[in-house]
Amino acid sequence: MTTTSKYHVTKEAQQVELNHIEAAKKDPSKFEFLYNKYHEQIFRYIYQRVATKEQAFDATQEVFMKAMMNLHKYQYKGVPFSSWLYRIAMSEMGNVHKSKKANRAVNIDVVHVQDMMDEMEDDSLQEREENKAKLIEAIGELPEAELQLIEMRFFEKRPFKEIGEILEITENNAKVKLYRALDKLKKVAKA
Amino acid sequence: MEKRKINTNRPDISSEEIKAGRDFNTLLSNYQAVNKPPFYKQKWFLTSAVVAIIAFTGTFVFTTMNDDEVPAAVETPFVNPPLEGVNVTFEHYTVEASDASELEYTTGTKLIIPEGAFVDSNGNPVTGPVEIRYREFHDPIDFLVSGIPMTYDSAGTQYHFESAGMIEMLAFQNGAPVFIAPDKEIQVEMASNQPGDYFNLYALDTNARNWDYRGKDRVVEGDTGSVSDTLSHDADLTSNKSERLEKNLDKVQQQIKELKAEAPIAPRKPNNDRFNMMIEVNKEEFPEIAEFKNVKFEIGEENKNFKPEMAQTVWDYVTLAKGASDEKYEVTFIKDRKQHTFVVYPVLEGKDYDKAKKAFEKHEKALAKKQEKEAEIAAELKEEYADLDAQWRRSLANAVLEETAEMEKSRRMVMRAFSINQMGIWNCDCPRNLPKGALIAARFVERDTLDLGLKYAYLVEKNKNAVYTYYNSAFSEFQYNPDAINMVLGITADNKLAVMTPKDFKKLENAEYVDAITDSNEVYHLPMSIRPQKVRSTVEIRKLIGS
Repeated sequence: MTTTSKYHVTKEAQQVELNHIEAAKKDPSKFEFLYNKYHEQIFRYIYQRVATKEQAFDATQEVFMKAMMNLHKYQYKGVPFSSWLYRIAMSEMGNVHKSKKANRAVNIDVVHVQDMMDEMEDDSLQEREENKAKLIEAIGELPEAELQLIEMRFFEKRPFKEIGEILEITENNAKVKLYRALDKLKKVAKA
Repeated sequence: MEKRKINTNRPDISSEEIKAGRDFNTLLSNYQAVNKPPFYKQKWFLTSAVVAIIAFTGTFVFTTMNDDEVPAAVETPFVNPPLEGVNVTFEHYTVEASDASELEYTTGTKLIIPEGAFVDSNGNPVTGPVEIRYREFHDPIDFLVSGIPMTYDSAGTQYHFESAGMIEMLAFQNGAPVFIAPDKEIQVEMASNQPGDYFNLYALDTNARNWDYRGKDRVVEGDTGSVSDTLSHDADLTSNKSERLEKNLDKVQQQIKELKAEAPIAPRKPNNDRFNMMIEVNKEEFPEIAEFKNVKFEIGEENKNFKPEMAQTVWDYVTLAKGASDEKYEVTFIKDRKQHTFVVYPVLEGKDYDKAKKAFEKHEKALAKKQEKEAEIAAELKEEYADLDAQWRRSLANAVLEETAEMEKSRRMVMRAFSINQMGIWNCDCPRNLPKGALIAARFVERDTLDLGLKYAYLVEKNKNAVYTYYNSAFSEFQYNPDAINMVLGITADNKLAVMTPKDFKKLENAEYVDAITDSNEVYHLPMSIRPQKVRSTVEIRKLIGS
């Protein structure tokens, strides 16, 4: 399974990217570099949350369209360009699901469910397959905000810092919220 | 919530497939189609609008500058006591600058001052009497009220001090500060309750707003004292006098009660225009008119249905009952199924009236006298209570002070020796990280909902001589050790002490409680109780929070 986060970059690479952003602000055709660089990441983020490839491709185009329209607002203040794009993608997903253009889907790889169970540090959970099934079902029932956290952390393997930047909360707050969601899932799985 | 579709182990999509779906050209043409410059960005509009925009901007800037006064930046003092009127007090000593001297503080600390130790602000040697002001800080309450910053920045990392004790020493001559001569040092042997040898020595640099590392102190053996567990004070809340007065008061009040019970009603003469009648009265049932002779009952004018011929009727029963007020009675005439009730007033004539009036006045006089006596005794008793209360409070305060001083002294297990070469605040401390174990977003509230608007929250862990100060911007990342005995103190805007007790902290182990105090943003609304008393000393704070 491919994970999507390419969060950590060198300072040099970041400077190159900032140059491309400034160029694209003046000339939209220069946006192609950024589009090519981030297309797959954004696509995978969206594909994780919708049912079909077609819906994911359409929504991805919409995300980049909005990014181009709003590029003049982007100023680097510590938040990477990728996190800014993810925020647009997250917002777009909200719109898509609200307008019923695509139903919300939760795509779970059971390997990642095992990772979650390991993180819960509860031996009694490990023993039974039934717990795993309960957990999968419970993930689907989580409130959207908690589901986002679980998806980003366990299915997309993002660092807390990046999760915090995408959700516009602090890294620690992201941790706190994630562990509360995990705690909730643990109780359901054990019930 | 709409049911979500859950897919497990959906086949992965390859990078090649995703790449094949890219289409930048379509994206760009769509962008250009929707991103035509609006009319106000067209050339024709820009030219004609320039003047108007300049005029508008000018007005806007002018208005803004006048309406919004930008406050000048005021730097908060680096040592900033948070609780108005409460601080650790200085002891005052006078030494002769030309002579060597040794001072002893109440905790047992020794200050060894060499001869010629002081210079004035120009560097000239000082002779004559010098006033020394000295105080110490030994526990979290001292640290908190003093407002001395207990954090230390080292290589970009902020640490929190765990302290083995701090001192502040100042010197003055004729009200002007004097300083330690460059070639002299004052030896300090500070009594401390922290025996460890891992503490460093720091001097507070209020200009750089940080602590200046000055090496290590030296631990010297000290005496271990003992302290009683209970607070002893012999003042009582009663005295012989108060007991006697209480008895007298009871007696008088009983007499008043009896007088009121047998009090006659004020007699009245009959109204010749109103009808009256004789009714036989049971004296036990109506003691207030028992002494009235030949009493008659006059039909009140409020009885609109009364007819004089009713008096001619032979009624089967006539009953008398108390009315709505002292002087009113109700008479009921009953015959067969007919029944009439009227409000009546007892009346007396001639000598009977005079006699009753005399008896009434005598009784009133006796009651007034007793009531006067009651007021006298009550006032005397109140005064006695106030005296006793004051005695009790004085005694308690003394006992608290004595006990605190004794405890302070007994807790000092070691002497920590170091030299100081400048006046100000010195600290035997060890930098620590914030407690670990739990991280929450916190909001400190009163009565479950009302945000206390605390500027700082001071986290104190039992058995750790430290105060972890959280500025309100850091409440969203409030760390604490759930295995420790924790307490949070805060100072409200109206200078009252807010406390989140260890018991309150313990509740955070209960998931249901946590759910109840957590809002939709996962912020814990932590209730604190406000101590209503205005605190005036560290002793009072310790008593209030039970430390």
